Amino acid sequence: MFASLIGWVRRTWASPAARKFRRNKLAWVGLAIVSAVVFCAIFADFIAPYDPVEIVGPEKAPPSRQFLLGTDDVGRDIFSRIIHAVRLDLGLGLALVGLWTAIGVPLGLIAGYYGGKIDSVIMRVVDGLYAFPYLVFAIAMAGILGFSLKTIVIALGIVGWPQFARVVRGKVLAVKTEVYVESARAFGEKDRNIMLRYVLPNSLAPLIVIMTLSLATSLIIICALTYLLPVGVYLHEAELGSMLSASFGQMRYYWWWATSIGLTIVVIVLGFNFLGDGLRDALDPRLRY
Amino acid sequence: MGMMRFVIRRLLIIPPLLIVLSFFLFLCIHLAPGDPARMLAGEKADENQVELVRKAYGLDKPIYVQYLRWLIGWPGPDPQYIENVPEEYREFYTSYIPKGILRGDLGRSWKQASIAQSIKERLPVTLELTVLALLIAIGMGLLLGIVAALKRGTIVDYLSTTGALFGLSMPSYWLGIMMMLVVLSIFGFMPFHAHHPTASILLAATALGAFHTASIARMTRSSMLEVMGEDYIRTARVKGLSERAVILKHGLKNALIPIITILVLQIPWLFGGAAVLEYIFGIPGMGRLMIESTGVTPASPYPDPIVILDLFLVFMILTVLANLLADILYAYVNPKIRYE
Repeated sequence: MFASLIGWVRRTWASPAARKFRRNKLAWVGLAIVSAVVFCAIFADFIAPYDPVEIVGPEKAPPSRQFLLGTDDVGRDIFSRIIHAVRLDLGLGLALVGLWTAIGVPLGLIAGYYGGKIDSVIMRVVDGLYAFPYLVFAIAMAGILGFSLKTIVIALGIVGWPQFARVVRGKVLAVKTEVYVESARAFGEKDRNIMLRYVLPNSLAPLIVIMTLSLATSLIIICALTYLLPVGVYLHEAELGSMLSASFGQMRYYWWWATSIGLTIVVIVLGFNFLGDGLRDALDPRLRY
Repeated sequence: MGMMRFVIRRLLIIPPLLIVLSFFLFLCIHLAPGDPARMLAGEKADENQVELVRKAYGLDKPIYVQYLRWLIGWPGPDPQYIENVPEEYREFYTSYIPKGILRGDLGRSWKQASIAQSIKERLPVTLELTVLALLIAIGMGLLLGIVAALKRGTIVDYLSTTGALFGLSMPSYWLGIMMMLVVLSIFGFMPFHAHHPTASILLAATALGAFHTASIARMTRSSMLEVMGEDYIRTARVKGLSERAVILKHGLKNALIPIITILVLQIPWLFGGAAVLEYIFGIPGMGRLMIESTGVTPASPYPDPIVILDLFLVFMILTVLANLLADILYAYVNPKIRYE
C-alpha cells in the first residue's frame, strides 16, 4: 500500500506534465500562495492572535507589534479579521465552484455523450448564459430576495456553470470514438458507467485547470457583491468584501486599513491565477480560458 | 443578405427572452419577504390604509394577474375600491394608474418617481462609462500586446506580460479604490462624481477597463506571435510591403479573430463591473440606481423590486445588443464565418 503510494508519487513527479510544471516559476509562486491561504483558512483559530469580532484595543490604532495591521474603527484587530475572512471567503468560493461543477459537468457529459437534440438544447442554454450579465443578476437577486451569502452563492451558481459544461463536452466528443469506449459499449456497459468510468477521467485535467482559475474569479465576484451589499455580514462576521467596504469611508485617514484588506484579495486571486495558469500550461496548453 | 437575416433572428430572440426572465424575476419578487402594500402605503399608515392600498393596487391578486398588469396594464385597479378611499387619500391613489411596460410605462418607484425617467437620465452615463472603458481596453490592450509580440523576449515584453498577469488578478473595485487613494494623496481631493465629473468617469473607466486591457493584451500577444510566423506574412514581406503594413494589415487583422472571441466572453462582466465602479465613484448611472434600489444605502433604506426588475431587463438588452455587435464585428474580420 505504502510502496504503491510512493511509486505513484514518483511516477507523477517524473511525468512530462509535472516536469513542465516544476520548471514554471510563477506556478511555484501560485502554489506557495494557495498553500498558505489554505493553511490560514484551516488553522485560522490558531494563527489569528485575537478574536475577529471582539473589541481588543483602541479604535483605529496604526500597525504595531501588538496589532500587526492595526485596528479598525471599533477596535478589532485587522490581522485577525483578515485571517478569519480568508476562511469564510475561501469557503464561499469553493461552494460556488462546487455548484458550477455539479451543474456543468453532468450537463456537459450528457450533451457530449448523447449528442443530437439533447446536445443542441443544452448548448443553446450554455450559449445564452455566456451572454448573461452575472454580476448584475446577482445584485438583482440580492435586492429582490433579500441579501444573504446563501442568496448570492445560489444566484451565481445557477448562471455561472457554462464554462464547465463546454470544456467537459469538448473532451467527451474527443474521447467518444476511442476504441476503449466502443469496446465498453460492445460489452454492454450502461451509459452511466461508461460516462463515469471511461469518459469523465479524461476530462479531469482541463476540469482541474478551470476549477482553479474559476476559484480566482469567484472570489473576485463574491467580494464585489459583499463590497456593494455589506448588510448581513457587516458587523458580525469577518468577510473581505464587507471589510473593504467599511474601510472605504475612513480611507482618507487610515490608509493601511483598506490597503491591507484589498492586497489580501489581490494576492489570493493572483495565487490561484498563477497556479491555474501553470496547471494549464502543464496539463492542457490548448485550453483557452 | 445572410448577415441581415442573422441579425434579425438574433433581435427576435430578445422579446421572448425578456418575457421569460421578467416572469421569473416577478415570481421571485412575489416569494420575497416583506409586504409591498405596507411599503406603498408608507410607514405611518394604519392597517386599514394598508388593506386599501393592497386592494386598490391589486396586490391581493394572484401572481399572474399582477404580472399581466405590470406587462400591459390590465386588469387595472378596481374602481370600486378607489371610490371607497377616504377623500384625503384619493388623489394619491388615482394620480397614477400603471399602463404596463409594453405600453411604455416602466412603472413607479416607491418614492413615486417615474422609472422610465430615471433610466433615461442614467442610461447615457452608464453607456459613457462602459464605452470609454472598452475603448481604453481595446486601444491599450492591442498596443501592449502588439509591442510585446514584436519585441518578444525583451524587457518590454516581460513588463507587459507580467503587467497583464497582475491586471487579470486585480478586482476593478480594488483598482478604483487605490486610484482614489492616489489622487487623494497627490492632489488632495476625492474624485467623486458630484465634484469632479470628468476625473471620476475617466478613473472609473480606466479601473473598469484594466481587466479587459490585460486579457486583450495577453490574447493579442499570443495570437500575434502565432500569426506572424505564417507563410502569408513572409509573402507580404517579400512583396516589399512596409513593415507597418505587414503588421497592421496582415498580422493584426488575422490576429483579431481570437481577440474578438475573448472580448465577447467579457461583455457580460462589463455592466456588473460598471455598477461597482459607479457605486465607488458616486457616478449616477444605472448600476448605482440598482444598488441603491436594493435598500442597502442609508439614503434609500427600502428595497424597490420593480426598479431592480426594470433595470435588470435594460442591462439584459444591452448585453444582448453588445454581443450581437461583437458577432457582427467577428464576421467582418473573419469572412470564413457563415450564418445559417
